[in-house]
Amino acid sequence: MALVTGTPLGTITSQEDLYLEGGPSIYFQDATASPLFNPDGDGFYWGLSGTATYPIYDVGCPTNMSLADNLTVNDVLCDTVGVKSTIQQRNYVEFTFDLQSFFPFDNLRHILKGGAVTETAPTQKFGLGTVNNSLYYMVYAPKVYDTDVGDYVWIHLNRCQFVDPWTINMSFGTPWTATGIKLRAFADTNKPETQKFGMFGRADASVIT
Amino acid sequence: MESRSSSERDSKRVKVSDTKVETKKESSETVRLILLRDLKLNIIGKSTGKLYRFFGAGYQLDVDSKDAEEMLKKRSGACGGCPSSIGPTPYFDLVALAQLHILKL
Repeated sequence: MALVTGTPLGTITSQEDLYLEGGPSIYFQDATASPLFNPDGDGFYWGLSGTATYPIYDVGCPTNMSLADNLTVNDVLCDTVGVKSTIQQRNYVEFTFDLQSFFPFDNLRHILKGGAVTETAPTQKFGLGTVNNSLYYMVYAPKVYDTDVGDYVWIHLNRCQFVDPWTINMSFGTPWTATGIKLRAFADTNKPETQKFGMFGRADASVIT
Repeated sequence: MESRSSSERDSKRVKVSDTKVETKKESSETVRLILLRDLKLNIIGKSTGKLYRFFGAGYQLDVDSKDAEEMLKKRSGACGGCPSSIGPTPYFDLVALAQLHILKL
């Protein structure tokens, strides 16, 4: 009698005793490039493949990372019974993090919404001028949760921009930290409706067989 | 008259063959490099002192092979403690490296 323990009857999908810890690595690339799997055999669009024209940028030493959903939420309110349902529409998905690694400038300039970098030894320079609103990036954030066998999860976002103002904290005795860095993933209408913003994946050969 | 014309022909032959040799020399002295970094780069070749200007990622330029050797070693980046780090990344790559490999084989 399963009911002794309070277990419901019928088909049950139980959860695994496996927990994720720490932030993923973050890579981004100009969204003009095609994803590595475009699409894969299951119809999913994900992964990055760097080229000379569209290199991949690695975000070094991010902290306080979080991934958040943004929805427009409106209740269906009936005067007879109250809220009967809630209508939800996804606006965007957003990666938020702080950054402690500032070099090289060809990576940083994208994050701080700066201009093109000019390098003439021994200097690197970029301007802080008008924000280029036509730059979009693909983002790939993998997290290996079992380093022995290489099991990992990943998040792929199709069309992102660095949004919101940044702040660089310059305190005595602590590393410079750029806070308020937000990578906002907008809908990519060239992707299937179910993957407009991106996708979540897991690779685990011992569990997914 | 006949002897003149034959000598002229000979001299022409010599000139043509000389030109060919020079062309070969030029092509072996330069290699084409492609910039892999997203920046405008002004770089002075360490061997020749020539100034090379690259305008953004993917820009290609013919470079003196003596300078190219040093330029191909130029690297930056790498976050030591980052799990994602792939080590210092190069600035340049040789264009059509695969083709060169085939020729060597």
